[in-house]
Amino acid sequence: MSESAGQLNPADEFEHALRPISIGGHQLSFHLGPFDMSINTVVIYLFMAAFIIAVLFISLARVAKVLPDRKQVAFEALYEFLRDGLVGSVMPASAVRTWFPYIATLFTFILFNNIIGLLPIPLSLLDESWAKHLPEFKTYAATSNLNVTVALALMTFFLTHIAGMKTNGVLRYYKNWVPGTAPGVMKPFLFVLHAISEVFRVVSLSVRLWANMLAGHIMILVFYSLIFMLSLATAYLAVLLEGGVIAISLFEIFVAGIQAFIFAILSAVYIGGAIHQEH
Amino acid sequence: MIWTLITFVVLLLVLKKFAFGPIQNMIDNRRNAIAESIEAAENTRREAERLLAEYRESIANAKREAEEIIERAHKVGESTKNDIVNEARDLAQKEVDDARKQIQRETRKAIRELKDEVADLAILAAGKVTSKSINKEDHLRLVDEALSEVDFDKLASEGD
Repeated sequence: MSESAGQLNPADEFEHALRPISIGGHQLSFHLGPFDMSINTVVIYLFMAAFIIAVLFISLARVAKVLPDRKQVAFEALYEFLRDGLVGSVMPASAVRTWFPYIATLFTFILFNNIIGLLPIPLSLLDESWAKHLPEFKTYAATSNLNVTVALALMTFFLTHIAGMKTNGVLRYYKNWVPGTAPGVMKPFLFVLHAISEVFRVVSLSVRLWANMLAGHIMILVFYSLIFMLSLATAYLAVLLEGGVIAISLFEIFVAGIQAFIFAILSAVYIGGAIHQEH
Repeated sequence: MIWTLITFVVLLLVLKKFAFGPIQNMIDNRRNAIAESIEAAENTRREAERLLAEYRESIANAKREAEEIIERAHKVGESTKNDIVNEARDLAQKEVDDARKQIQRETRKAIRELKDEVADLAILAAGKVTSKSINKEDHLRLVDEALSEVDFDKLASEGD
C-alpha cells in the first residue's frame, strides 16, 4: 500500500500505474514519434504475463512425449479444450488450424494477465532497494487498463475483417453484410447498421473485460482501504473485511478465467463469422 | 496500447513456433501411432479369425472324411459278410442236393439188386418146391406178377 495508510485512495492506484516507472533512479520514459513508449507498470505486467506464459508453455512443450505424464496430460487437456472446445466449437473446421494460435494466445495472455493481477508483486523493488523503503506489495491487472483491452479488441476487429475479405473476396465480403433478400431501399441503411454493430463489437469486447477487471480490483482496494480506515475503530471489523477481501479475490480468480474465455470465444465467433458468412 | 500489441504479437509468434507447433505435432504423432496400433491389432485379429475359420473348416473336413471312411468300411464289411454267407449257403445247399441225389441213386440201385436177388431166390425156392413143374419162363412171369404187387416205390421212399 502507499506510504501513508490514512490517505489511501483506490483511484490513485490506477493512475499511478500509468506513470513511467523508474529503475535505479532512471525513469523509463520513451517516445517514438507520436507514440508514448514509456515503460510503466502496465507494460511491466504485460511483459511478466508474456514471459510466464512463454516459459511455462515452451518448457511443457519441450518435454512433451508421445506417452505423456500427468503434467503433460493436464497441459494437453487445456490445449485440446482451447482447440476443440473453444476454437473448434465456433469456427469452421477449415479455419481452426489457422486461427487456433491467435485465439489460444489471446486466451492465455488475458488469463495470465488477469491472474497475475491478483498477486501482490513488489514492483517498487525495481527502483528502490529494501534498505531505503519497505517494498510495496501491489496488485494490478494490465487488463484493468482500457488501453490494453482496446488494443486487443482492435486486433480482433482488424483480423476479423482481413480474414473475411481474404476468404470471401473484398466485394463479396461487404455485400454479405446485407441480407440478399432485403428490399433494395433498405440495403444502404442495413449496411450502415451492420457497420455500426461491427464497431460496437470493439467497444463491447474491450469494455467488458476492462470493466470486469477494474471493478474487481476496485472492490479489493476498497475493502483494503476500509480496513485501514476502520481498523482504528475495531479490530474485529478489520478481520471481517479481510475475509471479504479473500472472498472477492477467490471470486476474481473465477472472473479472470471467465473473462479470458469470453474474450477469446467472442473473437473466435467474430472471425469465424467473417470467414463463413451467412448469406 | 503499442506495448500491448508488441507484447502480444511477440508472444503469439513465440508460442506458435515453440509451443503450439510441437504440441500439435506430438498429438498428431500420437494419433497416428494409435491409429497404426489399432490398424495392426485389427489386422492381427482378422488374420486370427481367418486362421480359426480355416482350422474349423479343416477339422470339419477331417471329421467328414473319417465318417465317410467308417461308412465305407461298414458297407464293405456288410457286403463281404453277405457274400460269405451266401456262398456258404449255396455250398451247403449244393452239398445237400448232391447227398440227396447220391442217396436216391444208391437206393434205386439197392432196390434193383434186391429185386433181382428176390427173383433169383424165388425161382430157386420155387424150383425146389415144384421140381421143374414149371419152366423157367413161366417162373419168371409168376415172380414178376408177385413182385408187381409189392410197392417198391414205397420201399424206396422209406429207404431214403
